[in-house]
Amino acid sequence: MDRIIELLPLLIPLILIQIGLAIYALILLKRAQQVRGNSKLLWALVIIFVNLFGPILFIVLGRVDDAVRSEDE
Amino acid sequence: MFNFAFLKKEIKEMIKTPKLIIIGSVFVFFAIIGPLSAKYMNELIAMFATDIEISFPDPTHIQSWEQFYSNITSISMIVFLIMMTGTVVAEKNKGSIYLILTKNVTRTSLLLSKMLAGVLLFTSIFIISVLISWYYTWVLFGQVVYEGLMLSLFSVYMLGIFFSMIAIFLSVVLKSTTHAALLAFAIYAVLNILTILSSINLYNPAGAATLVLNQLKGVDVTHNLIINIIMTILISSILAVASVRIFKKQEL
Amino acid sequence: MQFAVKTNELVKDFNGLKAVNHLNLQVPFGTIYGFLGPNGSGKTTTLKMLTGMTEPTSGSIEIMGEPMIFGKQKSQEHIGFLPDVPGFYDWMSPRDFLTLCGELFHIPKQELIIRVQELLKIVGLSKSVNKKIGTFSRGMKQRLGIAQALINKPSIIFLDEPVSALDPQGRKEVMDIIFGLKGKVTVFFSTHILSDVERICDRVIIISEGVTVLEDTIENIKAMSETYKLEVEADENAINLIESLILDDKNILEIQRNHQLITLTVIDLDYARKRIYEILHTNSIMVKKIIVKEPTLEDIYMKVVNHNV
Repeated sequence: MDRIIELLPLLIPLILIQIGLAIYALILLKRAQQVRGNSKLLWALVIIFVNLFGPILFIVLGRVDDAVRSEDE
Repeated sequence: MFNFAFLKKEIKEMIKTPKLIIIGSVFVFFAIIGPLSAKYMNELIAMFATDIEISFPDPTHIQSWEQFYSNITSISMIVFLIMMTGTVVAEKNKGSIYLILTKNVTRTSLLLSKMLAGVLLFTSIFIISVLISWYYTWVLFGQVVYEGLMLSLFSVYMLGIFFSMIAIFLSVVLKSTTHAALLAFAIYAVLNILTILSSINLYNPAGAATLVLNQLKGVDVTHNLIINIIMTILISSILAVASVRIFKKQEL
Repeated sequence: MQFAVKTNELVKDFNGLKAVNHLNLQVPFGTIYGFLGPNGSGKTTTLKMLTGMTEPTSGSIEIMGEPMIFGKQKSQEHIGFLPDVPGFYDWMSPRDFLTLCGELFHIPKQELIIRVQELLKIVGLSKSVNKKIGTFSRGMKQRLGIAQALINKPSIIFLDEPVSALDPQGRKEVMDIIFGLKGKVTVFFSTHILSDVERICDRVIIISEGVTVLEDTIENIKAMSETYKLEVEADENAINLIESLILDDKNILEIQRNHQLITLTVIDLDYARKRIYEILHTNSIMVKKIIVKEPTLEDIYMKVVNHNV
């Protein structure tokens, strides 16, 4: 236990990055009108439960914007 | 004449779109986790594997840098590479390139801005990563510097510049963001598989990743590292010139 | 006469397929010039060559009397361009985007602030200055597209199908903006919507399969039509009577009957008018209206394009 408290200042930035990125992705998810796969719930789970790369996956692949749409046509 | 307005737009774009956040998070995350895992991985393994007696030598700052190099040349670099591949092709597909090029901007100027923005981005996140790793290593191990550290860092930095140019080149040549990202990943994979052939590592930009690890183990590879850096600069320059040449003649 | 755009034997060859085939354009300065043709006739390719996006296979282009050479950005000072689907940066506001465009032309800061404001007003986006372009409707994007094309006070703007993707409301707004530019800049725009052309253009060129099939003023083109239409509206009995009286008339090419309406297609319009008045007079018929229908551009367009095919 002592070890963890001792390490805490070093670990906090790591935790902040993960939580920050997840919150950012969740905000984008909420604002998105359309997501790939059409399931916002699924993406929310991915963002929350897949550390670091869940949010990134959503931001890069999950969002459908005009540019992506026209490319798909 | 070089048009700074477009460079300004490129930089703002990185900040206002998720690009910087993603690349930044990954680089910082792995810069922190490197020294930490070097320090505590042994303990963690020992904790979970209680039934067997394992003994490791105590980790030092060398293991910390080892972690740093392997993370930054693998996962961090792949994320950077893939995030950068869309830069030109996305503007072509979206059609924004027509609006920009019918202003007073030459194609060369547009592409140089993109390259410069990519280089600036990599330079800043690389410096931040090094500083973070440096700080954590110092806190956890009380020692940071070793023989050849600066040269090693520089060669890894040049590898990042090389991949920026790969991203630009593919973005100019290919017609879809997805293809550019996939091919970029393929090139990354092939160059890394080639590092098995240690004899050509000094000519392979990705060989830097292996060379700096050898340096850490105490093998003096200064000479090879220098040749590797020169090769990387050379290949990056060729990629840059080729990108500009192709882009200037391209049908849009 | 000075020409804003002049091309000489312009050719674009895509692997043996001639998208544009020896096109000679002469767009007089200050006109609104319609560039017509069916889909795939080479309109977009021509516009891309005129704006320096694509290199011509052969032939030459002059913009405002200066030769345009592919790869040299010299003519950009004179031109503005709106592609068919303009792509913006979604994270920017319209003000950001217009400011970027102005900076790319090195317009001094103070002047640019005023210019951006003016343009946003002209295209009716003053209320949305700080919204993100990502939230814009197609019509708003198209209007912003016109504003960005005007940022450098160009002598000529090229618009590629500026209204074809819009709903009727958006179409009207954009056409009104374009019409408002009359006399200020030369407008060269491609379209396949003929009613728009008829309303605002001074001159048109019609191309088909990369070749010019017709080039003239709207009036002249309409005058080319060999037939006229005369329409008479009255109550049904009167129309029946008129129809029976002219049924055998050799000078009337075609009679179309529709309840209270009769449409006569004739070559000699004056003869037809006299004949109708005579019938009305001698039979004491009261009519609601008599109209001489002008030939529409659409009739002529269909004719020339189909002739060529």
